[in-house]
Amino acid sequence: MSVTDDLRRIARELLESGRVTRVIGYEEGRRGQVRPLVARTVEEAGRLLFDERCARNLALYLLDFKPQGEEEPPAVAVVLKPCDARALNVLVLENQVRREKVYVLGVACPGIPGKPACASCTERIPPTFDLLLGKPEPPPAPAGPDDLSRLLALSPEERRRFWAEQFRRCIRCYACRQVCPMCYCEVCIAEKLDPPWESIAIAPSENEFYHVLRAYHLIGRCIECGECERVCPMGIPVFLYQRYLAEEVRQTFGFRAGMDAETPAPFMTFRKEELEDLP
Amino acid sequence: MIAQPMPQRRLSKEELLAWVERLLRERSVIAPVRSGERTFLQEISAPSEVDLEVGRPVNSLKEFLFPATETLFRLRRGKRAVRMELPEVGRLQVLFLVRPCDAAALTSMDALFLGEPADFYWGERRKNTALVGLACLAVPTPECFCTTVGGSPIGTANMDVILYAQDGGYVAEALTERGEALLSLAGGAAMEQPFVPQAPELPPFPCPPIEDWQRVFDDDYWQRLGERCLGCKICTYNCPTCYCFDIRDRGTGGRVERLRAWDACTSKHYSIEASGHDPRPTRGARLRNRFCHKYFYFPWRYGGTLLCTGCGRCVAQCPVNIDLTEVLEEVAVRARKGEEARQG
Repeated sequence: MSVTDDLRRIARELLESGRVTRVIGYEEGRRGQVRPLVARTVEEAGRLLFDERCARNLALYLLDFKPQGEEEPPAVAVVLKPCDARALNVLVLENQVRREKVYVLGVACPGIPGKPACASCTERIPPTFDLLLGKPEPPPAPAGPDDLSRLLALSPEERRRFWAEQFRRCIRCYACRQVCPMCYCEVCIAEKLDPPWESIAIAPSENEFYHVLRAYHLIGRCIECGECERVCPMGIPVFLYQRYLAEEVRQTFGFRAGMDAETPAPFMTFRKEELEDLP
Repeated sequence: MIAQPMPQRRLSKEELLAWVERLLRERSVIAPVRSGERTFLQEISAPSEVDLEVGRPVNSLKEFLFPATETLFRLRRGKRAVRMELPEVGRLQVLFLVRPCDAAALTSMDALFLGEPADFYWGERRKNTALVGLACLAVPTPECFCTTVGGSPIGTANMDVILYAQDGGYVAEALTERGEALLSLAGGAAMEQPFVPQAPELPPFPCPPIEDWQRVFDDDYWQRLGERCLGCKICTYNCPTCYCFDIRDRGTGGRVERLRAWDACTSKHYSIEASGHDPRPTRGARLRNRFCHKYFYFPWRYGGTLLCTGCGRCVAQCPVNIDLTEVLEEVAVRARKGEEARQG
């Protein structure tokens, strides 16, 4: 039995029994692509699939089922890879999603071929799931020096020039923000109008402001799925700065976002004794 | 139009690049430039930057006539009066190696921006912009569908010169007086026998008429499509015909500038009204607006001209596989089904 066969069978059972109202997964799209599917019926569940083209982070779509006021959110099932499940943990921690309302169809991740975020990732089993599909394969040996080590080898001035050149290209389509499960603000600070924190100009200084701000808002919250970079139409290595910051948080605080749904990010807690560490 | 057509000229690759060199002396040249795995249309400073193998650049030509951000005017408070300054717009420029679909986009954009009241900024740039097109003798990308929306891979609309890649070089033909003047700067030899281009075949898709879009307006399809839409602006910003914009003032201390910047109907806050009401409150409703604008509202308002040239950028660049060619098929099928159901 393939993962896809198991997935379809279980999704049908979940929908038929009324355990969940929807199953969020992948289906075959056009032109050889896979795409997200929110299956509502047993028939639609028959279209679900999982293979190594399933690069997206479907935890994003759980935000569409956020409780509205007093209303109970509907129970949904969702297909999550390890990084996607880390996103769920952060969303649960931050009270955006109720874990008991989500049935996690965890998948043992093969690593998505060609996806830069996967090249440095060794996780194969989601940190949270209700059912695990597939058998985890051992992660491949890490390749040689990657983008991050190349970037860190540059001088600060060279780095500044590198990023200025990258952000110059940005058209502020906000795809990196829209695809990010952690970017769930009702109104992004980059688009606040009253008062405006930045002008509507699509120009280098505004672009830089947006990217730096977003990076800072994600420190200790980024779960390193790399979707921001994968969706960028302009080829900006958006994940590179995010990865750098995630690495800093790991080295400084021994913390990685979303490994569980209980430990808050270092910058979301404050302990009095930490004052003494300040210069 | 030219009374007496100039003979076509044959240019080698070297002669083409030498021509670019000469064009660069008098005007800005915008051309496809390769950067890593992608090709972008951008201003060049040397002919060697041009990507001659260009299929379809990531961005469209739109930004060179309707920039992502521009200053409409500046106000300065003086001792006795407020001074208003207009920015300089409309430098001479050539858009080089523009594909027929991008050139065709100017037809609908002209209808919009040059209709009364005409947009000064578009008008000034348009007047001073020449187009050197590159015909598609082979289909450049799998997402192309220009013939579905009335275009042609060898169409010459809005071009001043068209180039046909042929035998490792180019056949160049002037289409306007401005094109003749530009081409007179090129070397090469006159062709003895005219080159007659053959259009390649493109996969056909249905192009539903306005009535079909009306029929499917309340179809559940839009909500289902919206379920996977990210609500980003890729499809609109890189589209050659999406023209929505926002206008805001910025400045302090006696200096104010009025900015115009792109905006997009696919984004969440675009349609919120001053009262707080949002007539398009869901991603599905916003997506429907984008497609209906292109195939329903715009042609309805502008004598049948579609606001889509089949360039395929939105199809190729959508991160969640929202594919306009599939939308066209769905609308055609659902409209027919709806009509059959209505008639019993």
